[in-house]
Order: sequence, then C-alpha cells, then structure tokens
Amino acid sequence: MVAFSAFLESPKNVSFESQEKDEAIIFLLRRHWLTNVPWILFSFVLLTFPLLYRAILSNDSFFSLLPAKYALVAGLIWYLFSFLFILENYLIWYFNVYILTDKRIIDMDFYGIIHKKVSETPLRNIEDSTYTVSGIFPTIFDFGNIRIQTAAESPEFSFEQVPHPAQVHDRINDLITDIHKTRGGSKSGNK
Amino acid sequence: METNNPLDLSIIIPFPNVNFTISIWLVTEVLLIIAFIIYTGFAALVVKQVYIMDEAVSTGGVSSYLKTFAWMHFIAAILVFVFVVLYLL
Repeated sequence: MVAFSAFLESPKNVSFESQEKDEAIIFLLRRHWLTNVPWILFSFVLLTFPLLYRAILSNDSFFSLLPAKYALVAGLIWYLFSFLFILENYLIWYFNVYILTDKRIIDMDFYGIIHKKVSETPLRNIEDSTYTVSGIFPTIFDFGNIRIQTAAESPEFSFEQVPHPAQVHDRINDLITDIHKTRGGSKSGNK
Repeated sequence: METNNPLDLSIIIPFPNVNFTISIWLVTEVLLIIAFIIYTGFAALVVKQVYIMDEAVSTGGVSSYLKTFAWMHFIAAILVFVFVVLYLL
C-alpha cells in the first residue's frame, strides 16, 4: 500500500520537482507509520465523541447542550473540522519525505499546510552519517533517526524516525564510498 | 432572529430614547459567518497546497485521491457555509 508506506526502495511512478533525467531514486522515506498513532487516536476520539457522549454520558445529543437552532450547525462544523484535521495530518505525513538518490539527498518539509522547506545536498558533500534507534517502540518496530554531516552550508541533515535506519545508513555509506573512490581515482588519474 | 439573553447596552450607552438591546446569539451568528468565510478561504488554500505538494513529490495514484479529498473538503465547507447563512439568518 503506497498510501501508507514509509519505506520505498527504488520506487516506480515516483518523481520530485528538481529530479534530473538520469537521476534514480534509491529510497523514498517518511516517518514510520507508528508516529501517526497519536493523531489517528485523536481523530478517532473526534469522530466518535458525539456518539459516545450520547451512548454513555447522556441520553441527549452532545450538541443539544446548545440551543436547538445551533445544534445541527455545531454538528456539521464539528465533523467538518474533524475531516480537515485528518486530511491535514495525513498530508503533512505523506508529503514530508526524505529522498536518497544516486546523486544527492533531499529533505522536503511541510510545516502546517502553508510552509514548505526543501533542503538538499550532493552526496559528495556528505562527510559522515550516524543513526540512532532509541526507545522501546523504535527498537521493536525498527525505526530511528539518521544524522548526516555535510560540508555544505547546511551542516547537518536529519532523517527523523524513518524505518530501517541501519539499511539506509549502510546504503548511504556505500554511495559515499563509491563517490570518494571515483574522485580519488580521477584525482590520481589527473596526476 | 432570536433575542435570547439580550444585552442591554443602554446601561453603558446613555441614550434614553434609543433601544440598544442586541442578542448575544446575533453576535454569535455574525462571528460564525465571518469565521466560515475565513474557513472557506483556508479550504481553498488546502486544495492549492495539495497541488503544490504533488508537484514537489509526485507519487502517482495516491495524489489524485488526495486532490479529490481536498476538493471534497472545499465543497463541503462551501455547502456548510451556505447552509449556516440560510439556516441561521
């Protein structure tokens, strides 16, 4: 299920705005699905609270606390806001992606619905990368953070709570090693 | 227009021959309509943002569902706004 996948290796039918023709996506990563649980639970509460209120706490509707004229309007607004809450949280999760290509790493962040930030650095600028898996759930479900030190203006990239961090880290290191070998080879070739 | 819980403004505005009584619900309705105008604008912004997000990272079929949901939300916001205006006023 692409709609709920946080770990896509060599994904097909996926592209990003500044992708070059000969550039291949190696990983497309999102936060682990488990990080969505808090807002999913809250959405569930939002959607079911009026029904549960009627079933458990009172014989009257939750919205009947208001004058009759406003109860229907309040109900409509409640579910409209609930729908927006779910849509916005899903959009932010879905489009906050970390992309590793054979040329660079890209971090696309959408804060809220109206703020977008895109950071990228070529693989040749990467100096060091480390990953951490810390906590009970990250250990059980295998997700964690990857920090990537670069020599560029933006000194550090951070892939937050991505699945299989060891595998991604390993792949990044392989790519860096290949690039350094190639550069070393071309430098010695120039001598 | 309902006149429950009237606010008698003549206490603070000293014009003895003019009735300044307004309903708290009238204020609520006006604020609700203003809020809904802003909300409908925000719903349109969500639609635009989904298109911008999709341009940033295109993921095929899922994006079209997301656009549909964003449009559904926008249309629902307009319908609820129209309903609120017709039903309350």
